[in-house]
Amino acid sequence: MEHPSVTNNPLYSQELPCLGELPSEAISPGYRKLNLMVTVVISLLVFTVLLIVAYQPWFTLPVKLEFSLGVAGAITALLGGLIFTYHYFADRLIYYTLREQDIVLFKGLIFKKVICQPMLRIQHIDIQRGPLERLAGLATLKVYSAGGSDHTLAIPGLPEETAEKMRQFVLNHSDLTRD
Amino acid sequence: MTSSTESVQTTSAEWQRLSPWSVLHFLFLQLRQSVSFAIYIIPAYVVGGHKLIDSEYFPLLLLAMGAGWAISSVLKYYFFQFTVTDKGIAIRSGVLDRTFTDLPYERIQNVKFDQPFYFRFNDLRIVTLDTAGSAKQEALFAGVTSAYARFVKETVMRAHRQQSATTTEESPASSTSDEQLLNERSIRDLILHGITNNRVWIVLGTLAPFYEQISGFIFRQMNALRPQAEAWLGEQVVALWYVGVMSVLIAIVLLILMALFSIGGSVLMFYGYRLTRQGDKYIRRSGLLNRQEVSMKRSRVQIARQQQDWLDRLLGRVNLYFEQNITGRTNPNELKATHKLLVPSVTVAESDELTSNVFSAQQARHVNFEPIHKRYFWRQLILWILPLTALAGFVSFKVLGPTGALPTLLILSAMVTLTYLHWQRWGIASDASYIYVRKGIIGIDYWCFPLAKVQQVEVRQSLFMRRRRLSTLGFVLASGRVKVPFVATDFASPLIERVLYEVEVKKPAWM
Repeated sequence: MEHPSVTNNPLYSQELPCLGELPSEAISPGYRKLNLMVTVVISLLVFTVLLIVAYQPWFTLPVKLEFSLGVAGAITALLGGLIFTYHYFADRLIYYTLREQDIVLFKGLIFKKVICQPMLRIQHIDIQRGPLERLAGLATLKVYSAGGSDHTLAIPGLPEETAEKMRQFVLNHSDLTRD
Repeated sequence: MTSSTESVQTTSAEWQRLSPWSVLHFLFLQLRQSVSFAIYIIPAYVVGGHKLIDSEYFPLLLLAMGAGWAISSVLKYYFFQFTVTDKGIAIRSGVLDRTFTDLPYERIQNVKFDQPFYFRFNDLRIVTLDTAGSAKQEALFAGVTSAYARFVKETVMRAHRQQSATTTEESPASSTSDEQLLNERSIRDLILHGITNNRVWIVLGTLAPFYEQISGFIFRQMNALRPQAEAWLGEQVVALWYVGVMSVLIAIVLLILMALFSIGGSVLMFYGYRLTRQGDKYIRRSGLLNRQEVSMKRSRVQIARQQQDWLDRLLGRVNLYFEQNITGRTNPNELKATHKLLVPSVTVAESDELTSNVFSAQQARHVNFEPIHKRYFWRQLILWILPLTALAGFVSFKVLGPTGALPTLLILSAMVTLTYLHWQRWGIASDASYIYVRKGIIGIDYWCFPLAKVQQVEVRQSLFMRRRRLSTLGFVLASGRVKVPFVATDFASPLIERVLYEVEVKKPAWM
C-alpha cells in the first residue's frame, strides 16, 4: 500500500484521548496559507468598498452614515483579525492518521477533537474541491458512515494526489466490500 | 425511474391488477384531496360564487363531481398494474401521466402493511415498499388480499435471504417459525400512555381544517354567556374579571381537552397493540381506524431506549423504543415512521424483559454506572445559568424594582436544581458486549447499544478538561449519536479501545 509505515498497533497500547503520540501526518501547510490569504483578501475587499463609499467625490454622506461606515470598518477589522488568528493557530493543529483499520482525525485549538472512523463502517467516500482549493491544488476528503451527514469525517487541505491515493486505498480496502 | 426497465421484468412478465375494491382507495384519496381543496373553494363560493352559479344547479354540480371521481377512480384502478417477478417488483400506474416504477428486491428495505378503515370489511391491505433511496421513492399498492400481501413480503424476504446467503452465511433457518406474542397493550395501558405522553398532535393533525370553526365557536359562546354573567355580577366587576376568569376557565377546559385528545390519539394509534416475534423479526400491529403493521429485523436494531419521564415514573411506566438506521430519512412523522419501534407505556419489568429479548443478556437496569464528573455541573452553572440569571435579573429589576429579586431567585434555584439533578443522573457503563447510558432529570432513561454497532467514535476535550483528565465521548450509531460529557479519561480510553477492537478486529455487521 501507499503507507507501509502505518500499522494498527499503537491504538491498543496507548490511550486514545492522548492520541497525540500516534504517528500522524499534518495536512498541507497550503491549507493554512490559503485560509489566511482568503481572510486577508476578503477583509481588504470590504475595506476598499467602505473607503470608496466614504471618499467618493460625487455626493456628500449624511453624518450618521459616515459614523456607521466607521463602525462597519471596525467590525471588519475585528472579525478579520479573529478569523486570521484562529486559522493561524488552529490550522496547524489538524492532523490525520490513515491506519490499516481506520482513519483518525485530530483537530481543535481550545476544544481538541479526535474522530476515529473504522474502515468497516464507511458507506462511501468522496473528494471535494472548491474553486479556491483547486487553485491551491488542495482537496477535502469526505468519509461518510451511516447515522447522518452530521457525522461525516472531513479531512481538509490534503494535496490533491494524496487525497486521491487515500480515497483509492479506502476503496480498495477489503472491509468496504464486506456488507 | 424508468432507467432500468429490463432488470426486473422477465420476458414473460404477467401484469396483474389490484382487487376491484381498490377503487375505494382511489376514491378516498380523491375525496381527501377535494376536502382540502374545498376549504378554499367554499368561502370563495359563499363570498362571490353564488352569484355566478345558480343554487338550483348545485346538486347537479355535486353529482357531476361525484361521477367524475368515480370514473377517474375506476380508470386509475384499470391502469394500475403490477408484476412480481424473480428479480423484483414493477408497477405501472397513472391514467394520463403514466409512471413506471421498477424495484429490484435488493432496493426494497422494508415491507409494510396498512389496513385503512375502508378495507376493514373485506380484509384487504395496502402494501408499502420502502426503498433505501434518499429520494422519496416508495411504492405502494392498495387493495390486495392479506394472503397476497404476505406472499409479497415472503418473496421479498426470500430474495433478501438468497442474496445474503451468497455473500455471507448468516441466519440459516430462522424464518419459518411461528409468531410468538411478546407484548399486548390494553385500553387501560393506552389511557395511561395518553396521559403521560402528549399524543395531541395525532388528533390535532386531523382537526387542522376545522380550527377556524372551533375558535369561532368558543368566542360565540363567550359572547353569548356575557349578558348572563353581567346580570349576576354587575357590569363593573364583570368588565374587570371577565377576561381573567374566562381565560383561566378556557385554560382549564383546554387542558382537559388536551388530555382527552391525547388519550384519544393514543388509543387511535395503538389500539389492539400487539408486538410479536417471528424468527429474527419483530412485528408491531396496532391502530383503531387504520391498522398498521411494521416489522423490524432484530439485527437492524441499533439502540434500545427505555424512556421514563417524571409522569411515567410516578405511574411506574416506561416507553421503550427500538431504533434502526435513520440515514437518508427526512420524514419525521411518527405515525408513518418505520425506523422506530415503540412499545408504549410498559411496566419496568416488561421493558427490561423486552430489551433483553432484543439485546440478550443486557444489564441496563442492573449495572453500576460511572457518574460523569461534577465539573459538568459547574460548567453548566458558569456558562449558562449565571449569565441567564444575570439577564433575567436585569430585566425583572427594570420592570418590578426591588421585588424583581424574587422571580430572579426563583429562576436561579429552579435552574440550579434541575441541572444538579441532571448531572446526578448522567452516567455511563459497559460490559462485554454493550454500552449503557443513564440520563434524565426527574425521570430516568436507560439507553443500551452493542459495542459492535458503533459507526464512528469521537472524543472531545477542552484544554481544561484535558488537564483534569476528562473527555466528552460521542458514539455515532446508524440511529444517531450518543453523547456522554465529562467522562473520566481513565474510564473512556479503555472503553474506546474495546469498541474499536470489537468493530475493527471482529468485523461484525451492523444491519
